[in-house]
Amino acid sequence: MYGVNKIPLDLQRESLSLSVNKNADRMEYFRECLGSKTQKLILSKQDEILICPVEPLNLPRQVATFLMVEFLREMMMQPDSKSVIYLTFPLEIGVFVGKKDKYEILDIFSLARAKYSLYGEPRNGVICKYWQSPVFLEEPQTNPLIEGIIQLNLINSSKNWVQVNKVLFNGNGMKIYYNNKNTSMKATMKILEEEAAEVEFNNSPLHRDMKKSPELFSTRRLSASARKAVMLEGI
Amino acid sequence: MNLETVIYGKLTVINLIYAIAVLIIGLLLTHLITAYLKRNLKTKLNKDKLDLVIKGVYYLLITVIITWVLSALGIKLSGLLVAGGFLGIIIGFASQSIVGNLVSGFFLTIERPMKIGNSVNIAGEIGIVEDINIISTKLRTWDGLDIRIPNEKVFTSSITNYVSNIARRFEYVLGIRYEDDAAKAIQIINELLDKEPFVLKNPAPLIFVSKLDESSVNISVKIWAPISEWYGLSMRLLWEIKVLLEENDIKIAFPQRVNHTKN
Repeated sequence: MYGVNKIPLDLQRESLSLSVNKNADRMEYFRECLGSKTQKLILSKQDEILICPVEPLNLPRQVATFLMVEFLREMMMQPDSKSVIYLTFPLEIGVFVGKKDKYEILDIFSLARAKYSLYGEPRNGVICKYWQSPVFLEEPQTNPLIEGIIQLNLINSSKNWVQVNKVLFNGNGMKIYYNNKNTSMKATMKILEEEAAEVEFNNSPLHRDMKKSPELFSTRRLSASARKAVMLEGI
Repeated sequence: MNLETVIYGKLTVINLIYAIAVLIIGLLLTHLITAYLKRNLKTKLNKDKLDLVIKGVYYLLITVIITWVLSALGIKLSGLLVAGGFLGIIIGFASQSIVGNLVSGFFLTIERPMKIGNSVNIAGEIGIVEDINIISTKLRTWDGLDIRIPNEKVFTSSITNYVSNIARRFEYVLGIRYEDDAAKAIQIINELLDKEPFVLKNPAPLIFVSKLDESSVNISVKIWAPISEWYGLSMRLLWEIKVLLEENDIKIAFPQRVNHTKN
């Protein structure tokens, strides 16, 4: 399903029904997913659409630019150490029209549950998309329509043991890669103190055959620091 | 006509033409400079900061032009200051409120209790801040009416800013019948709130029996939501809770009184 799909297209997966029919110089798009429906008329002679995961920060409405993943079990990490863990994250799937480098978003849907949370205090915190994930030490198997995989490189640069319960990702700078089996992101969490960390995405796929999704949260005008998530209200 | 002809005192025709030219060119330049700044700073500053800069530059240029024009007309500023001192006393008494508003406007700009676009309550007037200028603050009410509030009143009134924080809490109180199971009702409400995306996971909603009232067991539901979503959510959720409770045979209590009669 992920990748460039030829039209006409008819996809029936789990709770998802998606079809695109071509009629002369127009396309009729229909999608139904978990009770939400959308129907669009596209005036174009194009004969393909791109379906791929996008930043999971758009549904039901875009109110946050951060994703928080809370661990289902607490994790301790020793001082001056490095480790790699795997987490899951909720998927939002984008449907694009247009050609490479000039894609235009047509629709976004999700089969994953949406929930929001506050990181920090109401005065100076951030609203973020919330997701709970088990901590895996090896790459887990996930449902490619619902969950993606984050490979998280943990670096504890502090001189103390730290307890890590959650990680915050900045949507500006999210690099999502996909193939037909999986969706992935790679990130590095550098723990600075017991309560503080910096999280940044690595622009590389988990597997060689993965392709990069178009970025809806463009970072072209942002500095490197604006693409990081700085966690000062606990980790 | 001789350009050196004296019109009044030492004011000649050429001086008058010069003063008018300075005034027209000055105003034109002021307009062009403020328009240029507005266009170039629009993406770099937010709206209220941009307004402040534009107004500052505008009034500075106007002051320079007026000084220049007065000088061209042969009016000495030192003389004006003496006359101004006397006039100032008279005008001061006459324009106390205007000066009060100006000073309040200045302090509001420094204190910044609200920004343009914020939803606020100022002295009982609720609306969205449309403009904060040096004399007054303009609100647009939810009914689409414009209200102008003098800055002195704004400064001395209590201001509630509904959107200064990124999340806020709202509350319902539901009265269920005494024969209903309050623990079950709390569980049902909790499950509903858990499914609702914009009911924040953290701070978690609080659901508890808050009062044993005359006719009902009152359950308080306190919910945190993103500031952009709380109002829509608060309008929708109460009915959804009521419907769900009734589907589970938990009813909202009506006022009732039990009368015991002997014989």
